[in-house]
Amino acid sequence: MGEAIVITSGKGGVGKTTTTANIGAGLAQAGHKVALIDADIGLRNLDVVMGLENRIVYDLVDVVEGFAKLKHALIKDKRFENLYLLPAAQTRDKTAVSPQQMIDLVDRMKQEFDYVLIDSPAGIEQGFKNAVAGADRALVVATPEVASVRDADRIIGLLEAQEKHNPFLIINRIRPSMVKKGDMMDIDDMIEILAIELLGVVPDDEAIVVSTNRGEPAVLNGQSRAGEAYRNITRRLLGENIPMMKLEEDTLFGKLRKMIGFKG
Amino acid sequence: MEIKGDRRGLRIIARGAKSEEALLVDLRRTLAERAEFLGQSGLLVEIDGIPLSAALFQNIAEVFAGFPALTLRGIEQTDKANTLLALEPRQTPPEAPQIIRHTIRSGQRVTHNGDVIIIGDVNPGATVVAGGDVMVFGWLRGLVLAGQPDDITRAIYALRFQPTQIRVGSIMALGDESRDDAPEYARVENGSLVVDSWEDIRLPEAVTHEPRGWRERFAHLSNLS
Repeated sequence: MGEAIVITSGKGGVGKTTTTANIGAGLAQAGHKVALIDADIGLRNLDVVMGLENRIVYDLVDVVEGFAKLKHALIKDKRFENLYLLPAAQTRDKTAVSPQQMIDLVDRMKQEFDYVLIDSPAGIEQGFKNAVAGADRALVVATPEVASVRDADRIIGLLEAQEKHNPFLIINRIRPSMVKKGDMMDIDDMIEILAIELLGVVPDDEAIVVSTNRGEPAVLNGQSRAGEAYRNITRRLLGENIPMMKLEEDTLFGKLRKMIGFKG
Repeated sequence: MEIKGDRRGLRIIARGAKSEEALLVDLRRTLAERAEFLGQSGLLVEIDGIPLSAALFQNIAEVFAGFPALTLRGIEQTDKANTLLALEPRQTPPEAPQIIRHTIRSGQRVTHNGDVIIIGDVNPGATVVAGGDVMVFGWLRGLVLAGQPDDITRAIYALRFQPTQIRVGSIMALGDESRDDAPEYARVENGSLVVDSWEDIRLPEAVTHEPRGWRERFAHLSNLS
């Protein structure tokens, strides 16, 4: 019996889909059997980030409505034998699925997979409720902005209300140079408000833009700082005790090292 | 009679009076003699020996009614055998206090027609609405309304006071960026909200501050004198 993990944030554009793709790829790389569910019905993205958009035949709604079998809708990843994607429907909206149907679906998938990652849509409405319904654990993604932290706090409250306690926090897109200057919230500011356990901090990294456009998760790129952060997050999720990585790469020396190709 | 001042304000020590009558005469004389010294102050009357009955209470209030510059803050029975009967500063809230043992997060709302005690934070975007006082044993960063709908005798206490907005009764104040890492509380003074440090945990203002509304309740007595 596997574990279902929802990746959520409240606010849009903070990196839920990127995080789902990267953790999914990271877990698959570690040898686990992983399924990704894109629960953002009507605004399908995860397939693009995974580089699998041209292989979609059936989608989540088709499965829930009994139009297609789960095994026919699941798309096998290009890179990993043990990584699958259940894409969202692009033509429907969030009301096409109910929380109970999601619970049933996720429970079925947990029989077959070690990890089922659910990419939640932004917002707190039906789409969020669907995404959260079947999950055993939650990862809350937040960027170091007041609006994002506010929304993350709201989400944590809603998760608690649904008896989904102890979510993990992933801080995304932090810029150490701005934090140093006091222009950006730092990690402590965020944890002070959210008061949940920190799973990892992902630095702002241009390589992420390239990797999402190419459909290749950054976690597989040895040169990427963000990729390294996602590898650490994946290992922490698997129970390893990995210290937080030092965020100092914005120095000239750090940039040089990066250009030459050393890892941070 | 002796007059003493400490941080709770001025106190008249009316000890050793033989009878109620003697006490009242003595009190009236003391107040008249020391009127200049006392000026416009609030006084706490300390008695012992004589049980503090409702009648004595009213009689002392009547004596004070003869001195419009003075305010009777309360009467304290120091005799161990007798119970303390201070002027009740405020009406008791309609409901028993509600204690919340977790953080109130963004989008969550607590409403209670009585005092609210929160052991945890009130985060930005969270709302607490209370009929009585609000005490936050943690960070107050959200919106807190005390004394709803119209009781301005209430206060808002927090170990870390950094609200986005507060209201006591209908009086409103906006939070500012200032960040003081010490307990503070907000109350209404002369029609506006004032924030003070809340250091004296042993003797919180909730117990010792001026009994507001007293003049109104005893207004009829001044007509008697």
